[in-house]
Formats: sequence, C-alpha cells, structure tokens
Amino acid sequence: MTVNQSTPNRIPAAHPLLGQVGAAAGHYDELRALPGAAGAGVSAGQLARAWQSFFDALGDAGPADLDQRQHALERLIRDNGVTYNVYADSHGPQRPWALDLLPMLLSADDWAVIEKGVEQRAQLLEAIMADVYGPQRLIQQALLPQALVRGHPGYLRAMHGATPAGGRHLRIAAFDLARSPQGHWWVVSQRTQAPSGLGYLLENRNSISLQFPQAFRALNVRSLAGSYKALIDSIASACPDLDGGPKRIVLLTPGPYNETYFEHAYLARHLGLTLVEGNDLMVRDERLFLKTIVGLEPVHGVLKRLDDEFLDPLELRADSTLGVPGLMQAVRAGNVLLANAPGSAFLESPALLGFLPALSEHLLGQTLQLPSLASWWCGEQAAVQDMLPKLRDHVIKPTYPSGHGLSVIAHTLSPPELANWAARIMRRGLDHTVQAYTPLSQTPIWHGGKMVLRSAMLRVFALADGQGAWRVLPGALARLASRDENIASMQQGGSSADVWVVGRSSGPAVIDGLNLRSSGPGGKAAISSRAGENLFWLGRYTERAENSARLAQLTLQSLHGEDRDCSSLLSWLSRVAVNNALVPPGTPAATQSSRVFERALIDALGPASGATSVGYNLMALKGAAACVRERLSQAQWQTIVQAAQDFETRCEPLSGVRQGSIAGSPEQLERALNALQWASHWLAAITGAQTDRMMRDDGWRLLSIGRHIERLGSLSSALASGLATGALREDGGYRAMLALFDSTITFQALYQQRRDLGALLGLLVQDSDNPRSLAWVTQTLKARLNKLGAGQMPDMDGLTRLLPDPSRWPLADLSASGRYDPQHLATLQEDLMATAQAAWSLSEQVGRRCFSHAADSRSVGA
Amino acid sequence: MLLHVLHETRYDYSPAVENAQHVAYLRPLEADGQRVIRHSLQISPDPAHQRTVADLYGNSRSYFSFQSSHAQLVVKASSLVQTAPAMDHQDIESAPWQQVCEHLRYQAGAPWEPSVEFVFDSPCLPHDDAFAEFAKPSFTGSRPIALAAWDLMQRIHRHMRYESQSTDVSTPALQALRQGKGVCQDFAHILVACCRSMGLAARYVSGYLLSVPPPGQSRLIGSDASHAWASVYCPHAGPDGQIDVRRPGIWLDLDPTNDRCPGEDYVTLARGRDFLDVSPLRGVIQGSASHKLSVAVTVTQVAANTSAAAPGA
Repeated sequence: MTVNQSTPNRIPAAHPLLGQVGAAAGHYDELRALPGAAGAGVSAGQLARAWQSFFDALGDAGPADLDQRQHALERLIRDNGVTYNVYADSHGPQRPWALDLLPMLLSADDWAVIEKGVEQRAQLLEAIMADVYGPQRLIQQALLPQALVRGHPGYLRAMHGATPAGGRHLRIAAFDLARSPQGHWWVVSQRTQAPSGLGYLLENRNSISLQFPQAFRALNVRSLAGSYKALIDSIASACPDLDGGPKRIVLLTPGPYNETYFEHAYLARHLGLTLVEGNDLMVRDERLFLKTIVGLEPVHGVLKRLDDEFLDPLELRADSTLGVPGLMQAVRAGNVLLANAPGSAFLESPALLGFLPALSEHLLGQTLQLPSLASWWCGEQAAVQDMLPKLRDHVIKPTYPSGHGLSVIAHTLSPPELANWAARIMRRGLDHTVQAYTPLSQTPIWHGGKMVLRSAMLRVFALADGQGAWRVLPGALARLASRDENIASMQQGGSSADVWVVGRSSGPAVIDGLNLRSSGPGGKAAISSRAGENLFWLGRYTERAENSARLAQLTLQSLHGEDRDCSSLLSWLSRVAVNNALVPPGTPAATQSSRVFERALIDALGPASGATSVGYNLMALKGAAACVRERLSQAQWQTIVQAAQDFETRCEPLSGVRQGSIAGSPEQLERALNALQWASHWLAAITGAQTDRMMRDDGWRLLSIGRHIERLGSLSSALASGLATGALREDGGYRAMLALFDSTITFQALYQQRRDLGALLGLLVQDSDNPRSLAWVTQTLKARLNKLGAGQMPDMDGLTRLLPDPSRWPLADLSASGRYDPQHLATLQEDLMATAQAAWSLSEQVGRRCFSHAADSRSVGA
Repeated sequence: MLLHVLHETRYDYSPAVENAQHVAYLRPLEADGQRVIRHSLQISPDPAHQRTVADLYGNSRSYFSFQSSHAQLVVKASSLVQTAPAMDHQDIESAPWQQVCEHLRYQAGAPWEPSVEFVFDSPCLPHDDAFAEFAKPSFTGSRPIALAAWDLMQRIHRHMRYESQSTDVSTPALQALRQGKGVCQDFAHILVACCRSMGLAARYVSGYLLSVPPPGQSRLIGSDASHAWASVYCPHAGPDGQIDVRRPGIWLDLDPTNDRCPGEDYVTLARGRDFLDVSPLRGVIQGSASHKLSVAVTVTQVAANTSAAAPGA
C-alpha cells in the first residue's frame, strides 16, 4: 500500500485560516498527509493536494465567513429536524444531529485502496454467510470456531438451510475504518445486521455540499446517488414476484423511540419506500402484507433497520413487540426479501476479524487486501498465552453482544483494574477479544471560530447493485471524537463530518440533490392502518383543542362580562363545559356559584391537572403527531411542540394546588385568558399548516375526516343544549353561540345587529358557504369519505348514510307563524342530538373499516 | 415398551382471537431406538395454513395459522411409540471429564465435533458463576464424565424440592436454583447449565413419562404432564485412558427430577439447547384480551398384540 500519496503543493502559502494547527503527536495528520509532528499541535509540512484545492476554492474567506456558514448549517439542521436520540426514549431530549462544517477529504489514491478492500470484504462476508447457512464446511474444517457461529446469539437456527429470496444474504455491509499513524487503513469492525449511517451520510452530503459549492465543484467530488439507486434496484429486481403486481419495498424501523429514527424516516423518504413498524405488517399464508386503510397490500422487499432478535415473536424473542409474527416462516418460504437476510449478526463479532485472512484464502483464493486491526479471540488457548503479557497495549472488546458492553482501552486502566480484566479473560476467554490499539488520524473541524484537528473514524458502505455485484458507496460517514479523545462515537458525544472522495478527472460536477422518489420502485403510496389511525386522531384532537380553548375563553369572559347575570347563558355554558370535560363532573353550575365554577375551570386547564381539558387535548394532539412525525414538515412539528409547551408553561402558576400560585387573584383570570388566547393563536397556525401544507392523500383525508367528525359532534350537541336551556332567547347566549361557532364576523356582515333565531340557525345549520355550519360539515365529510381509497372502499355508502342532511331540515317552519313553535323546536333539538350521535358512530365505523388491523399481538405458550 | 400418548392442549379466549400463529413440537422423535408407530395431530378449528418440517436437530416442527375469529383452540397429539430400554451410566466407559472439556474447546484444524454447540449459552440459560459453583464438587480429579454427571444429577435431586406451580415456563433456572425448588423444566435446565459452566456439552429433552407405574414401583413425579430431563455428552475412553475419537460419543440421558436414567417408560419428544428450542406448543395471538389454558397428558402402556386397537389414534 502506498502512503502519503498526495504530493505536497508547490505553493507554500498555506491558507490564513489554518493558523498553526496540526495533528497531535502520534496521530496521522489528514491535512498534510503526514504522520503527526513530534510536538503536539505544531504545524509542519505542506498541505495535501486535496486540502490545498479546498482552501484555494475558499479564496480569501476568513473566519467570519466560516462562522457564517456554520450558522447557516446549524439553521439547516434545525429546520430539517435532523436529530439523534441520545437516550433512545420518547421523553428524552432529541439532540440535533452533530455535523461539523468542514468535510473530511479523501484523495483518489486513498479511495482506490479502500474501495478495493471493502468490496473484497463484502464478497468474503457473503461467502461466509452462504457457508454458515449452507454446508457449514468452515466450522467442520475448524477454519471458524463453532463458538463464533453456533455459539453466537446472532446465528439464527431459524435460518438454517434456508436460501434467501434473490439468492444472497447480504446487500448492505458497513465497515468502520481507522487510519494508523503511518497512514495505513485498517478495519476496526464490521456491521451487517442493521447498520446505521446511510441516512445521516446522505443528509450530511446534502447539507455540506450547500455550504461549499465552489470547493465541491473544484474537487469534483464523487456522487452518491448512483449507489443508493443501485441498492434499491438490487432489492427490487431480486424480490419474489408472487402476484405480478408492482413490487413494494418497505423500510422496517423499530419506531420513533429508536436513537436513529430520524435517518429511517429520511432514508424512506429519499428512497421512495414506505416507512413501517412491525405492527404495520402481518403474515398470511407465509406471505408478508402491509396493513393499510384500504386493506392488506402485499410486501415483496424489506429494508431492515430492526435487529434480528426482534423480527418475529413466534420464533425469536417472544417478548418482542417490534416484529411481525410468522415473518421467519415467510422468509424461509422465499416469499419476501429482507435486506439483509436475518442471521448475519455473528459477522459483527470482533473475534471473527482474526480468522478472515485464512477465510479469504480459503473461500476467495485471494489475500485479504484491507487488513483488520490485529485481533485475538481469547477462546483459543494459544491466543490467551500470547496476549496476556501484552494486554496493556490493547483494547478489550466483548466477543458477544450480551457481553461486558463497551470496549476498554487497556492503557487507561489502573494496575488493579488491568489485573482484574486479565483474570476475567483467564476465566471466560471466549467472551473476550483483544484488539490492537491505534491512535486515529486527525482531520480539521471548525470549532469556536477557529480550526482544530480531531480524531476520526470512517464508516464505509458496500451496497449490492442490480447486477448481483457489490458497489462501494464513494463517500463515508466520518465520526469524530470529542476533544482529546480517541473514541469516535455518536453515543458518547462525538460529532460527524461529510466525507468527500476527490474525483480523478475533472468532469461535470453534480450537486447531490438526491431524491429517488420519482425513480423509485413502482406501487402507489399506501397509508398504513397505524398511520391512518394517528392522522385521524391528530385531526380530532386538533379540532377538540381548538374547540375547548374557544369554549373556555368564552366561558371565562361571560362570567365577567355584561351578561354575567344571565342565568340561561350560565346554565348553557355550564352544561357545555361539563360535556367537554372543561370542569370535573359534580362541579356546581355557574348559576349556583360562578366563583367555584370559574376556579374549577381554571384549575383543570393545564396538562398536569389530570383533567381532559385544553392542556390535555394539546398533549394528545402532540402525541398523535409524534406517531406520524415523518409526514409533517419540521415547521409544523415545531409549532405543535411549542403550542403544547407554551400552554403548559403558562398554566403552571394557575393551579390552586401549587405553591406560589396566584389562584383566586384577579391576575389569575387575566393569565388564564392570556394562555387561552395564545393557545388559539398556536392552533390557528397548526390548522393552517394542516389545510395548506400537507399532501392531499388518504392520510390527509383521514385527518380531515377526524376534524369534521369532532366538529359535527361538538357543535351540534352545543347547539342542542343552547336550545334546551333557552340561552338563545337572550342576547348574551345569542352572541356566545355565534362566538362558539366562530361565526360572529360572518353573521355581522350579513345581519348586522339583528337578533333573529331564524337568521342564526340559518347561518349555523344550513348555510352552504359557512365552513362551520352543520350542513357544510356533513357535506365535506361525505365528500372526503367518498374519495377515500380512490373511491374503491367497499360499502362507503353505508358510512355516509349514517350522516343526516341538515340542509333539508325544515327550519323555515320554525317561525312560520311568526312565533317559535315549541313542537318544532323540540324536533330540531332531537335532530341535533341525533346528529351528534351520528358523528360518534361514524368515528367508530371509520375505525372498524380502516384501522381494524391495528390490534396488538401477544405470545402464548403451553 | 409400547406406549400410547395423548397430549391435549386447549385454549379458551375471551374475546375471540382474530389471527393466530403457532409452532408445535408434539411428534415424538425417531432416534436412538425409539420408533413412532403411529402419530396424529388434530387441530380444531382447521388451520388456514399448516406446514411440518424437521428442524436442525431432527425434531418435527409444525407451524399452523388461523386468520379468522375463533374463541377456542384444541390441539390433540396422539402417538403410539415403541420405546428403547434404559442406559446404565455405569456401563459407559467414558473419558475423564477434563479431557472432554479439552476436546470440546476450539483448536485450529481439530476434527469436527458437532456436540460442541451444546457447550454454549442458550437463550434460556445465560452463563452464571452460580452454576459452576454448584457443579464443581461433582467434577473431581479425573472422574469419568458419566459418573461425574450422575453425581451432579443426584446432588440436584437432593438440593431441589419438586413443587408444582412453584415456577412457570419463564422462570430462569438461576432463580429456581437459588430458591431450591421448581418443576421438571427447572431441574433439567439446572443440570444443563451446570454441565455447560464446566465446559461440557449438555442438552434439554422434552417428553413424557408413563402414568401407571409398573407393579411394585412407586408413582413417579411428572406423569400426567409433559416431562423434561437433560442429556450429557459422554465420549468414550480409549484403552490409554484418553478420548477414543474413533467411536462416536454417547448422549447420556439423566432425569434429575426422579434421580434416575430415563428408560423404556419414557417417550422422547424433542431435543434442543433449552426449553425455548422445543416448547411443545407456543403461539402469537391477536385480538384477545385473556385466555385460559388447560393441558391434559395421558400415557398408557399398550400390550404389543393390541397395538392396532390403541385408543385415540
């Protein structure tokens, strides 16, 4: 292997941005393609050619320019919602993805070495899989210890003897590479089970190429798009063709609680795949199906981001709720392609690395080109004898995933700790693997307004292509250690960098604005039952939150307004407040004690109150939105999060049980009204985004159906009790009803100050231009229901027939005689109550029709 | 001995189950002198899909699924089996146990030894030093492995109290060992885990035991239910006291629940690394909130000349 390939540039003038920056002693310096200088942090030598070109392209940009780009990058990451869940927990903070401004540059010569070596390794791993799940000659000839195959939990007996669909086990393999102080590349580890990084890598490229467009062109950076497309082609062309229809490929994620969920959603969007969780899928007759709102749709290929042990509770971990019961049965039958096929996790053991050179000779007849860091599996007696005296210079790694967890760098241990580890290795050798330690090469980052160097490790991907060969993605995810560390891990607070592979020739430059959606595999976009159900409830909770905020505001204002003594108004508001859970059951009506009633209403507002009032509705809205996060724009999601947060914060001092509360004071009322006013503003923004910024597909239709069902149910029931309490005969009640229907301005434009019940009912019940009138709402509901599933849902008439047609109610008869006929009013009240009932029945029916597959599964055993 | 086994499992669901998939290991094994003369697996309601294959240990594995509503599942396995006589641990000239450990440990280029896979941890039986602590007193000097394993079985039998319902199928063997009581599954798991902790190969066996004891013998625990025991790999000793690699080793069955070697009054169903590899019937159901399980096992001896008229076949 050639080292220090880059010819130093003849122009001695280094860029002023560089200052005196240099790699720490003992580390390779990526900037200069040289072993680190003797004194830490001292610059010496000339820049490598690629870096020289990079700085040339920057021109006379100074620190201020880079700071500006840094800010632009941070904004982009925030706006795109790129996150990494450090704590892998729904309540834990979602940390913004840590991406450094400066790319790491790889020369064409460096890349040639990596590309050849990685491609060969991917071939080797596939050959090992074929043997291990086939004739098992390698363990029979003791070229591989049984302990590392059948003794590894990642070896799946359920796959024994199975030929995966498409004839190969692996389509994605990731390799973590380190560059030693002498400039050589070494493989540190390999990942095949569900390697992460392909999404972040793409996001990094899309973000960083935007920051340095001139440099990106000048360096003729190799494009990534072709390799991603080839991977999808490879899956699509190898999928079993069971039904002659279009091939459907899904991306299987453990769900939003997973630390790398962002990239699952990102990849799915960019590759044109449906993002699914285990319970979106089901197996029937050994075939895999997606549960959609229009029924079961066949699935032919799965890009898998779920660890193998969780795939199938029937055959693997019975306690897994993330998998699909019967999936292994479908895989063995060859009826679905999984990329990668289950059972490759044993390849990830560091213990395997030491056996690869011999396996390469045996299986490929070739010398292994890209070496692994020297690794000794301590299950071999000879290895332990050799190793123990030299343990201090090495890294101790667990052989098995259930082992002692993280790697231990032996030279950081105290003598007693080291002795303790040596004893553990003596006792249970097979559980431990010892690997050579190498200081990582250092690459520049932009930090705190200046350039510094940080240790880096590369994750490089080999991807299958449609021709049955391997293609190495010409780029990488660089993981950078935090300050003074040698551990590059995103979990331990490190960051990442885009990796540019410099092109050999200057050809036409392409900025990677990769989006394969249009060229992705065929098949119409499907809405899973789970996504559909969450969208439906997102709609219902949005409407309910808006409605409850308006009602609470109206009620508080009425209690203090000019109509505060109007008993019909107060008894109507009390009744509606109870119906909408704004006050706990049993609260005395406002007519009995307006102060007690007011206190109860304010107490219940916040989400911490335990009531299901405004705060609760906002949290429920957020919960439903979180489950369909990938369908919402970042701005919309942010608005929802802020709406819930803002309301919670504003409600904190309001509750009577809290210390330092302002309960009972005039200030309390003012603050409560203010909080509700803000909630209405936020909700208007959320509603706007729902109306204006979402694809009008079946998912959106379900959201809209949810909203209109909620609106129809709550408004018709409020109107019925308005009639029952006689509130509408009083001026205050009349105005309050208009406000609750959000129709005050419309009414005034039409009727000025008239107070005519006929006019009011006409606008709120039958007006075909008022989006809050009951007739308009039912018409809209019918139209949405009829368009669901491209009009192919069976028996939608049965659903739409549930709805009344308020436009045909004989409202004119109400005052035919000039006076209001009590008989007619009673009939109208009944019609209104029946309408509310119809709305809730429709909700159940939609659930049964579209989300029925969403029920949970569980394991039983005898 | 000719034995008839009727194994009936019944689930009552409330509300009804909409979708279900099951895996059953209910057909007795044909190996080591045991022969299955007749076997049937009756499933009610009729499954939508069914497939039976041999797993990688040679056990018969049945998969079946339902995709319509059912409030009850009944699985009846009926088998007529010619069993094999007992093996006496004292008749085996087995190699010293440390040599067996050495033999099972990986050495580059060493000859193929398939039983090695039963040395490793398995899903139900992760490694724990407590098993080694318990096992050590049985593995002394250069004791032949069969005698050491026999001694270990006897010690487990003395240490553990058999108490039905004291554990369930998901209780870890380590917990059973600590509390000193359990059911046959725990006894078997403990024996397996102890052997593995010493670096030896041991496997879990699921099966049945004849309900009616032969005249003059006392009734054995574990009858009228499915039973479980363990099996330990015992290579032969050669004339020089070393392992005789030319002769395949013997798997010695040991029943720590009853402190004896299984004999012709035992029926072997399936063998695996632990219970999870061979649980008689398991499944994943969708749609039901609760279920009631009842299991009935009846093992009867059939006179050879009446085998054609055996019940329930």
